[in-house]
Amino acid sequence: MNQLSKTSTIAMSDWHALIAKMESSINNTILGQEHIVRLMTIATLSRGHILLEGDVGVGKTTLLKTVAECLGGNFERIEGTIDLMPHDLVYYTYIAENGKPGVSSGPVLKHGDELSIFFFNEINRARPQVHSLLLRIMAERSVHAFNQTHFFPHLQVFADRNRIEKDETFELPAAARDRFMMELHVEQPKSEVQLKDLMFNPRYHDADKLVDSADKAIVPFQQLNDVAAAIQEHVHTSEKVQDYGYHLCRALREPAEYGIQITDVDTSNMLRGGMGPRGISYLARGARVNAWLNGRDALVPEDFHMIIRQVAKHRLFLNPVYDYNRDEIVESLITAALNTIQSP
Amino acid sequence: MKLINTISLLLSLFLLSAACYAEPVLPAQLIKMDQGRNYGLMVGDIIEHRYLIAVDEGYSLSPSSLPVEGELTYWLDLNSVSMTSEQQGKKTIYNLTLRYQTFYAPLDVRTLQIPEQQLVFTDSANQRVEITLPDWHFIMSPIKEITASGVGNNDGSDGFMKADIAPRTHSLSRYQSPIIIYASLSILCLLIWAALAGLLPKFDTSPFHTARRQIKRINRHKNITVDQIQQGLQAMHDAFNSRASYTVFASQIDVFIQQQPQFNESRTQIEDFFQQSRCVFFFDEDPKPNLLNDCIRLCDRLAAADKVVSGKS
Repeated sequence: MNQLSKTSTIAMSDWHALIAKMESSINNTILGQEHIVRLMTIATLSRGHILLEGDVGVGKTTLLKTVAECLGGNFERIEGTIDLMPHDLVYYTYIAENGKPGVSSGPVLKHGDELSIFFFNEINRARPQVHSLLLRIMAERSVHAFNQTHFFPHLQVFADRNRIEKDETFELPAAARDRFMMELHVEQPKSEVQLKDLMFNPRYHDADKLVDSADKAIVPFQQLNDVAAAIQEHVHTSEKVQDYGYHLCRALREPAEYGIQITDVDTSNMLRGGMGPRGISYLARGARVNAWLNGRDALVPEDFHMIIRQVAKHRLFLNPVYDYNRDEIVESLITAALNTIQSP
Repeated sequence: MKLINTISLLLSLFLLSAACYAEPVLPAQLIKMDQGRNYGLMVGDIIEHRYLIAVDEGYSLSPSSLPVEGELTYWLDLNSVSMTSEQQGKKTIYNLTLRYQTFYAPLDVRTLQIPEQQLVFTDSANQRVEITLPDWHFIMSPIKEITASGVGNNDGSDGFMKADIAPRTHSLSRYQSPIIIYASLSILCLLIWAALAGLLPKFDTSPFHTARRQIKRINRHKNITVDQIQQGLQAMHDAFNSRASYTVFASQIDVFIQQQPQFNESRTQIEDFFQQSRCVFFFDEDPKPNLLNDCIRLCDRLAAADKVVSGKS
């Protein structure tokens, strides 16, 4: 376990220090988001994509840019707009200096297989056609263009959307949401000291300058896949904890089977979709990463608890009759499942 | 002579007028009636009136004119009306019996009256004849002593009224055994249902008592396997979950103790238990010796803490 793989040049024990340094650098740049930063680290080491959601101006974009800078690698960004089309991600056309039409690679293809992070800003402003292309990029880390398939083995997609505006936006389809490992809800810091700092410290007034001030490329992004695989191999899961994880996911799909009751909700008829295979796989992977980050080589139930909400919430699709109160009902369901499923 | 003639004339006129005013013979006649004793009647007595009525041929009694059975006044009921008839020559003899019952409870001797009744007879030409059954006066007596025996008497009786008659008792001995058996079975079923529904008061209030019993049972074995140790630890976890009403994990010990402050003194032992449990269940480590004995001791401490709390409450 000391050496990760043939391609890795960093010992496993050193990876702890690197990750700690990365988190510290991000937390120095972005105030009051330690928990979100830890969750993003877990997603990154699980090789999962992340969707950030939150109010306007809470620092989602700045946070994602900072994380991208710290992770290193080639970074591309695109803004979701209503007239954005799938080909805008793959290529763009122009009139060259010689007056002839030219075609160049778009943001997805520009860096070839060295593309590390693709940042999709305001994803819900893009049309479903764009979401569809994104589905393939996220699920298969490849795209077909110019008569060949391009692979992006190190690609991680970050996306964000604000939850206030609904005009001229397109809700992400269930399939697209399921491809995001985590949906993180970003809120502004609660600490008065931090809010005052954000208010009066000139360091935080220029977001671009702030992101530039973060340490760059702390983590060798080419080795992240190996590290992620090594962590999954390294962290042991006992039979009991596997049982617990299975029943936890099962309870989020068939709550009535476990006698879960929620006020004013028929739990036998509340869900149209629950935790599917991709979701439960992401949950296990993220839990293992959390165990590793906490210096354990065995999984415990609390590792599931750390990420269950961020992994499960956007995968639970309620019967439309309950959609009016979706956030509260889903939260109640997850809490009830955690209180009901027993484990040593 | 003149006087004799005058007397003869007057006598003739008198006879003539008597002949003119003689009662005509009706087609229906009340020829006999028997109404019984009209004094000394008391509350609840039956009064039976019988009438014999002779009716000429061709006439018959109109049934609608018969009195209707039922309550006549608040104190007088007509219990039954029975009528028979037989032909005797050119007459039809009706035998009518009216059976009354009086419920009047007088406080002194009093005369009461049963009102008259009209009977109607009609012939084929629809000519009708009415007969009146006359009203009947009778005297009712109260059921009480005229002189109160309990007042001023020396006979030891102080009651003004007579005592009620004791009700007759029926023997229920043949129902006794089945009733006892069925009642016992019903109570038993009810208790079982209440126990299953958790409605019975829990005399052994601490779940750590239950856990202690289970762990002790496991601990009696000579060569205890890891599976058995896990069973013992699981019993302990079940007790924690039962006490908290939710699943308690190692990371929730602080919350648990905050909700159940009686266990605060055992915090270290609880944390140690959860750590040992993690080692056995999740880290695949060998359990430390005497782990189950430690659990039993912890159960004792926690059950005692529970007892103190329940005693206070």
